[in-house]
Amino acid sequence: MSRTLPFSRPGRSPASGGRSGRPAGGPSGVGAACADPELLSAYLDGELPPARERQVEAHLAGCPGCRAELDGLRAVVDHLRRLERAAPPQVLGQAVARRVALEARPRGLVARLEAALRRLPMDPATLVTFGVVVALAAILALFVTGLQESERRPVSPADPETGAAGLEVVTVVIGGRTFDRDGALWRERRVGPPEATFAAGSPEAGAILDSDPRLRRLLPGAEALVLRAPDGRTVSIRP
Amino acid sequence: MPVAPSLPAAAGRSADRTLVERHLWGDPAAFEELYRAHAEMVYNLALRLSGDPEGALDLSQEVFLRIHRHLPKFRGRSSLKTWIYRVTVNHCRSRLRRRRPSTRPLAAEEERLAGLADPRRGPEERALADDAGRRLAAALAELPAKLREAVVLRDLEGLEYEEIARVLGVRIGTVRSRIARGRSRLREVLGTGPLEEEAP
Repeated sequence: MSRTLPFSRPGRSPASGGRSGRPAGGPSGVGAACADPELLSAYLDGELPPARERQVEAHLAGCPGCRAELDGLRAVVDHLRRLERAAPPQVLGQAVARRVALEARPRGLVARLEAALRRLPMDPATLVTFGVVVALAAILALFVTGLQESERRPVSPADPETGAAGLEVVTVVIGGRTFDRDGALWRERRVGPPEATFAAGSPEAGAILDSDPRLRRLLPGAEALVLRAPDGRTVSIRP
Repeated sequence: MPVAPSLPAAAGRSADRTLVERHLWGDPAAFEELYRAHAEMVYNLALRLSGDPEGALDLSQEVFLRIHRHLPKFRGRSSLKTWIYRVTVNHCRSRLRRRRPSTRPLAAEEERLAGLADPRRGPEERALADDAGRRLAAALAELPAKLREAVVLRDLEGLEYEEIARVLGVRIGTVRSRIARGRSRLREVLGTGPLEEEAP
């Protein structure tokens, strides 16, 4: 039996039993609890480190007051755990379904990219790299919106927004959609997959890009450049 | 040295991320699954934190709307369940801050639930337990919000101290203290209070 109190309440000890200096309690002479109630509560929950738990158990073996305190705590917890759990009313599910149907679901290239990014390890370099990608996607999304608006109004071939000043014919692929410049307008067209795709840094892409300086100006703003050879074959260069 | 998560925990986190990604990609069944998995928890937490069944219905609806709106921000640093607990507690706290919880509607709810209680218990035992349950539920609703949150999360929801600390955004020592103080106040209601000291 341990009479030492590494966890007694400040100003109390089992010998004094309280301010009166006599054991408190009823006719049985049971002493008042001397342990910190917070410690007993954590002991009841099994949330003490092993060494501390053993100290409490050793103390409880010799302290009726603390055992009574623990029993009182246990009774409260037992009553709480017996409180009935309610099933959520059916009307809750119906109301939630109605409200979320009205909410716009997260969609779009940026949201999808963010979801894919969360699968990647978040080291700083990756974070920075893909932060740039997400920002680029947002810019591309805005660019597409601008192109859609440009289909409804005449656009000068020297439009500075497209960076296509002076070009006679330009094809740009953005967000999986292909736009051909047609005089003052951009027209979307369907194009099949290119015969070859090169990364912008590759020697093949470099040879193509070096053939016309205007291509390098277009590349940073595009998802891909699709180029058609005179015999109809197409190649794609991706940034 | 970092400890690798256990396989069940890792599998759970992976399932959480899959559900969130399905939702982000516009799969309506994903949010339905999330609702079915957590509706009982959200509703009961709102009920015990507010002490008001009708208020709990509104709070629960609002919580699920918040979950729906903010799910894209879920980063998987905690489990989805912990995140939903946090959303629920934070929302209930902010809504209830200005309002004192009503105990009369909850007593009526306890009457209804008592009628569904275990039929194997004898009538006298049930009557005593029902009465204690009603008093306890009412006392729980009267606890200061911070103590009530801690006691509900531990003794009704069964969360470990560490998870409660993550939900509430406090240290484990604070969780321990709030649980102990909450239980101590509830003991007085049940009449299982601490032994009195003799007057000097």
